Amino acid sequence: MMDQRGEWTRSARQGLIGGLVLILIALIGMIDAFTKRVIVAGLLDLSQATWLGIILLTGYLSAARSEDRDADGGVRRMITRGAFAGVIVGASACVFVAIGRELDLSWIFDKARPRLFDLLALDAWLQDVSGTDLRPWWALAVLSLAAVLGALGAVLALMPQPVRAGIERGLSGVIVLGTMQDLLIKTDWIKNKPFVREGIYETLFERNGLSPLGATIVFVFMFGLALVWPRGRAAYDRVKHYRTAKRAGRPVITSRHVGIALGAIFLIWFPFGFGNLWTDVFDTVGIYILMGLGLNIVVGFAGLLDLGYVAFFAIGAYTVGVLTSTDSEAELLVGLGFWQALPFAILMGIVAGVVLGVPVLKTHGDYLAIITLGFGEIIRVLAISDLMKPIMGGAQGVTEIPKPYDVGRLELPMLGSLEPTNQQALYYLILALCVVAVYITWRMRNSRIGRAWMALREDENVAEAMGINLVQTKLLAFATGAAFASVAGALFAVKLQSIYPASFGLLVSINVLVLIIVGGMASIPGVFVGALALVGLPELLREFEDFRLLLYGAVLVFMMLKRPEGLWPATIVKRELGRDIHGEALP
Amino acid sequence: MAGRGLGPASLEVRSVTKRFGGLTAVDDLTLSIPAGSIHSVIGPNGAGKTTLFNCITGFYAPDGGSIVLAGTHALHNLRSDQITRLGVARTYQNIRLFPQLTAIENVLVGLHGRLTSGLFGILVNSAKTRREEAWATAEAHDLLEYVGLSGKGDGLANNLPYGDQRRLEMARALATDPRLLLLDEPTAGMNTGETAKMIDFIRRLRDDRGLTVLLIEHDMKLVMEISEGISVIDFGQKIAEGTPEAVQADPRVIEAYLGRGAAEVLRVLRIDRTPSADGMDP
Amino acid sequence: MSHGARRFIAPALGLIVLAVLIVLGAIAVVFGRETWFQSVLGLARDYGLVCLALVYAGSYVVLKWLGRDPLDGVLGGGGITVVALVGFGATASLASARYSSSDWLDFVYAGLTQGSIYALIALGYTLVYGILRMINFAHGEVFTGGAMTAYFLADVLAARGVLARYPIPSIVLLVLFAALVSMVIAVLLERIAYRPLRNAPRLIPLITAIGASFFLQYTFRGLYGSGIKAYPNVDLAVFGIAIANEALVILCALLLMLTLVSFVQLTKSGMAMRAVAEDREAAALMGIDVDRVIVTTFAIGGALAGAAGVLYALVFRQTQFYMGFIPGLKAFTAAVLGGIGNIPGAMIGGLFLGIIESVGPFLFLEGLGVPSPNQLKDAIAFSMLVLVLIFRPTGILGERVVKRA
Repeated sequence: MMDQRGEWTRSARQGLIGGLVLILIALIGMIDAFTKRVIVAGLLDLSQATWLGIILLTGYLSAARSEDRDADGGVRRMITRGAFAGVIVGASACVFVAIGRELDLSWIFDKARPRLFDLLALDAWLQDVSGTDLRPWWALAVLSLAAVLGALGAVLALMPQPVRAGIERGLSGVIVLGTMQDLLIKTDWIKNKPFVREGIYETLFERNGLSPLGATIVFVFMFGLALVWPRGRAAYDRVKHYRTAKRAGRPVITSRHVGIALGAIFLIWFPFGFGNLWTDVFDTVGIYILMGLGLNIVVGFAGLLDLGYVAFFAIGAYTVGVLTSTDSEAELLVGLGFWQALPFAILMGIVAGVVLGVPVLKTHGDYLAIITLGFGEIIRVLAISDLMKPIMGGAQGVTEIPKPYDVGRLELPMLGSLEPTNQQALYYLILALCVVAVYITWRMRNSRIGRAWMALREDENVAEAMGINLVQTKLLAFATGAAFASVAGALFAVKLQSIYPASFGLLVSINVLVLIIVGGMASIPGVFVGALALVGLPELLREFEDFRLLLYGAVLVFMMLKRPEGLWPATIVKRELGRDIHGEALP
Repeated sequence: MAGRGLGPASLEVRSVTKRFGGLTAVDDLTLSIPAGSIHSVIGPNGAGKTTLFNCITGFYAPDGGSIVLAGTHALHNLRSDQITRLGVARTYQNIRLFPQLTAIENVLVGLHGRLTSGLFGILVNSAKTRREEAWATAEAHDLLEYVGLSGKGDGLANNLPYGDQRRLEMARALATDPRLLLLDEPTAGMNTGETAKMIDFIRRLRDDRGLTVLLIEHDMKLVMEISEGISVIDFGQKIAEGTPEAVQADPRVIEAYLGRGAAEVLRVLRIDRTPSADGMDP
Repeated sequence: MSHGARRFIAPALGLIVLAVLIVLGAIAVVFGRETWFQSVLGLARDYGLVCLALVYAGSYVVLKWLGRDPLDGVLGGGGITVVALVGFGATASLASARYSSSDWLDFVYAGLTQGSIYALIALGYTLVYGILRMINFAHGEVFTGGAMTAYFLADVLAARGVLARYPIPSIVLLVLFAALVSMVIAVLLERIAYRPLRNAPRLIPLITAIGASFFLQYTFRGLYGSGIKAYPNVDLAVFGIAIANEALVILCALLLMLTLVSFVQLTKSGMAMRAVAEDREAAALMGIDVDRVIVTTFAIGGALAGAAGVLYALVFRQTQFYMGFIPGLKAFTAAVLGGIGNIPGAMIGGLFLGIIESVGPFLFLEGLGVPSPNQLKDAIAFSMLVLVLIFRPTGILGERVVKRA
């Protein structure tokens, strides 16, 4: 017999947590900021999606975590409880709205303005959807809506897995496409190809948001895709097949190879197809990928938590900046070209990696983290100071850094001539360096050096007892990581053409750390996933800019609590952690 | 790359002392272990046995005295990685594998010191590197097979059952191509059958691989059966030494154990057949 | 030479270098040969890098000859070079007589004010570290939370004129309110972010704490806006004698620290805290509710940080969402300086750091000819952090930890 009272209390608590989260999100300003992103024209914007999504999720969780499922009449009770949890979320919102409309909270809470409460009371939305003015009964309307959504959430949790996965993917497909609309239309490939523009884009989208028809199409498409191509089992089998074949020495062409080939073609075609806006974003992503790969060696492979990683980024940027700047007012005018300066940047990075690495050779864990953080801060303070001003330019930074290339017309055999813009040239430069970095990381990972790093991460004392020279191994990790970061810094300098100390704060180190954690420690593809998700997305969705660090923080905590192996874990970790953490084998 | 083929090495420990603050864990200890023998160090809990191992392998720097391998290599001033490269390998009392690496990777780490590819060779994937990696993988598989773990190379070390973890640790130690193998309570937590197998295995090891074996053990049955020489230490000092028979008869040994409680005495006197229960040595 | 004695060589060498410099300076002053001394200093300044290289090479050779590990030489040489640099800078600054003794007293006074705030925050780090062996990286944000929230109360009090009429009760009220808010934040933090990770590998709670730090920082920004909020001015007078805010802050901080020490030493909960810090498992076996002790620890640390927030705002008069980050790091430095986990250590470390930070730029750097030395205040604090963690990770008052197998 289930403890029914316990179940109801739990649902009530979940509802209350949902309500508090909603109020927090509203007070922080997300609800307001998100109204600009229309997802389905005339029906739903991101703000409403967030609001209603929280209720749906609360209802879902209330049922998903219930043990009542197999009991007699359990299903009915679970749906009721979902509705109940939803109502509590709704009620919290209603209370909050009532208070907010009665008292002026805006002198404390910056975002608690009347508009926010109108949004939370769903005034405009209810009117749009129902066609009548529901404002006098807003509380009733919100509560009944909350009940329905809560129940729907519970129903979703009760559905068989494939259907549920389909609905989840359908919904996320709609939300993602709807959110990305203005990016899509800024994409050259869509904008300039009449077929794509008129045939696909205009069917799916209205001027602002997906059309209802478009939303349905996307939903059905994603739903179908989820049924045809389930995640998990199949992917696992593919990996297994690949491994057995490889062990037997058979050459295999797997979907992975095909994927890599397609990815490469896509990346090469990308700046022509997607245009400058996207290329610019991908440049930034690429710079972070380089740093991520480097920090992944230090933290992911060798287990040395370096929080001062930005120091090497700064060193690379300043080396190239100072050596190439054409600013005639600078006290130090060297005037090298980018390609002449780059080796110096790498060299400086390596030297700095070793110099800052030596003092921490004998420290471990959190102490190492704090010392490196101290180094990073010291370097930043020095960069601003008058002491280093003759070289580093103080707070004014280094300006007039020339572009690294002067590409004119490129004559390509058979393909005709190409005239890459500066933007495109920079993109290819970054892409090429990323490829080199991936190659280096990959080679090292599968060699005695990589194994030594990982042994170090697992147990330093035993690693030493296996004949591994700790000093060499650690310094090599620091130096390699630093070299990658200083290349990234060099690219950053020529991308922006001017650098300021403010760009080299602790935030950069944290940013890179978050991206490798989100992607999956020690995983090379993880770095790409992490950089795209954490650097690419916020660059593309400017409304998120204000909440970027807030979300980073939340993501870090959440990942550590729920999914420490990351989104794209290193293969082995995936296989094994999958069992340990979720208490069951991967499907 | 291949084994160094130097055969077993002798070990001379002369007047080694190690202090921790006011506590003298190893006190002017002298041991002499002939090449190719199986020698045991026994003593009550906290007698300083593991500290001695830590001094030999360079984890601790001894405060005084000298340790000489094969009559030529002074170990007491070297780091553990240097000592390992000279041919000293060990296992740990409370198994210390690399938990998040696979079994085969654990063994490959053990092979680290025998591989020579440099950074450049690794980056360009030179023919030499490829040859070396192929050799290392084959060698690691052989070692896994040798300790009876064939086919289990791809699982995480952490997920292996206890007995397999012990074997894996042996394979990893063997991978460093030792001339002297230090085993810290290799049968801790094993039942009688497993212990018997371990005895055979240690003998086979010594004969196949040309090793000197130095053991810390609490299981007197194993110690008496396998050892060619035994040193008894208490409070960091050597109180007796000799063949199993001589040590068993030595009154000082009995006294050392008597002082520590009746159970130990009984076990030493009767050479108890049940497995050692007090496998922990802090 | 025994291993124990060996570790005193580097500090001893450093002290000798320092002593030689001071003696030289004293001789110069006593024999009225300042100009001679200054020309020597000038020479050293002109060939500064060469001198440093010589000091470094010399100490490296000596240490390497004495020690077994070349790393000792590399690091110890660096440490001695830093000491020489600092000693040289200090001697040169003093010899130049640019600041009068009352200037120095002012620096020390400012340092004490800042330091007592560091000390209060540092206590939170130290208490938590003592019990959980984790760095609560988000502790600086707990401090921010109290200060920013109490701003609104201060604003109301100032607007109603209460603050002007009853300054002392108002300040007490503000401190209590901020302490309460920070306490709630700290306890929630423990409950939501840290408790589930209590047995995770050490780096995981640290990363979580970094995440929590950013989350809280930007939550405050979202809630309260990104502008600077200026605290109202408090004019304090007791029996007609005006008391500077600084003096009040130092006094308050001392009172709070005294309360904490008596709590930890005298009450039953304090005893439980010490027991858990000593050995968590043993304490649990003795029937101590470890969870409760941990929550208490976070609550106390949070309350102290909140109080520190108001004190900070009284002196510096402004609050902003990232105000806690740098003081948080500094306070952590202070805790490390005093030996993390050690309560008196945190207090002494805080005061010490405050003073060094305020005096240091003028004492150590000015003499080296560094332009606008005050800009490098933070660099001094972080250098102290780095140096202490490298050379004496257990802090000034901490005990030596034996390397464990």
